[in-house]
Order: sequence, then C-alpha cells, then structure tokens
Amino acid sequence: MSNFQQELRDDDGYENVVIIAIGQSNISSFNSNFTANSDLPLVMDEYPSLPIREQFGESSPNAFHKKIIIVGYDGEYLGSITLNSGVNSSAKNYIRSILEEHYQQSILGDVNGDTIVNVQDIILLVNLILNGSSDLSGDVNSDSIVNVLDVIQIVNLILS
Amino acid sequence: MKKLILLLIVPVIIFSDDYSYALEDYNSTSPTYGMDVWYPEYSDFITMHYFSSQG
Repeated sequence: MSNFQQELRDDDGYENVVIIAIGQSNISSFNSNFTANSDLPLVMDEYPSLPIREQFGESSPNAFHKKIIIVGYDGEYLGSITLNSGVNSSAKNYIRSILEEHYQQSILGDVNGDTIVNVQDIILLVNLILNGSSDLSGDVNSDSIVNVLDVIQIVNLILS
Repeated sequence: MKKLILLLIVPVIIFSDDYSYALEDYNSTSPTYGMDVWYPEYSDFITMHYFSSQG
C-alpha cells in the first residue's frame, strides 16, 4: 500500500494524497505488521467504542476490514473499495478515477487550498512554522523545509 | 417559524456526512510519527482511510 501511495505521488503527480492506516487500540501489533516497512501514518481506533469506524457508519471491530474509504478536502465521502485481492489494477484504476475527478493541483503559495494566494496563507504558514509542522504544503521554495524563507516567498508572490 | 427550523436543521443535514479526526500517528517509520493526523497534518489532502481488524 505504501508503494501505491508513492506511485500516486511520483508517477501520477498526486502529491497531496495520503493513505492513513487505521488499526484498533486493543491490538498492539499493527505497527509491526499492518504498517511494517511502510511510511503510511497509522492511527488507532479506540476500542471498544471505535469512533472512527462509527463515524464512517459501522462500529463493530471487524467492520471495514481491508476497506479503503476515500475522503475529499472538505471531509466529504468520495468513494470506497474493499481490497480482498490486494491493491490490484482494478482497485488502482478505481482510486485513480476518483482522484482524477476530485484532485486539485496546488497553486504555489496557496497554503490553505482556497485557490487564492493572500494574507490568509501567510497566517496559516506562520502557524505551521510555530507549531513545528512537517506539512510541506507551505514549502513554497521547495527546499523541503517550512520556514521564514517560505513566508518571504509568499509575500513576494502576493506583491508581484 | 418553519423557515427558522429549516434554517437550523438543513446545515446539520448538509454537514453530517463530513468526516474528520485528529489522532496520533503510531507508525514509527512514518514522516508524521507522533503527530496528529488527519488534522492538522494532511488537512489539505485527499485522504484514503485504510482499515484493518487484524494486527
């Protein structure tokens, strides 16, 4: 699954797409098995209430096993698929079709993703820096670090 | 009065399908290990939530 995420980013250019693995808090081995040798973020659904599953419509421990639920920028449901046969070409095509329809190419300096570069992006970027975030949406100068140089770059973009 | 009730109810219906959570990333080999995802990390991403029931 980690490889597929990399494919989407490197080959298809979907840089702002992430696969989040969801385990359960009552089972401790997800990090060593489910996300072993992968860079996918892993969160634990709190057992027994399982609030993540519940908000997606199911609250039983076995709900959604091997299922991917795709969610858009505003938290809206975009689609889902169960990977009984792994990430095969059919699953990849389905996911790519959803991304093709909904993915928005990022605009340089548009940190908040509202398609406008303005002072709100500066405020958000400063907050990202102060919070020590690793979110590279604010990496305007593409040096893989979000810092004051990116703020200067956005100011220049706005002024120009 | 009916309009007022509708005004109060409609936004609840519209936004009730929106999903979100902010939980610590437990994958020690993830770039966001120890941080809260999906908010604030990845809040401007299309997210794919991959479930498993088996560790």
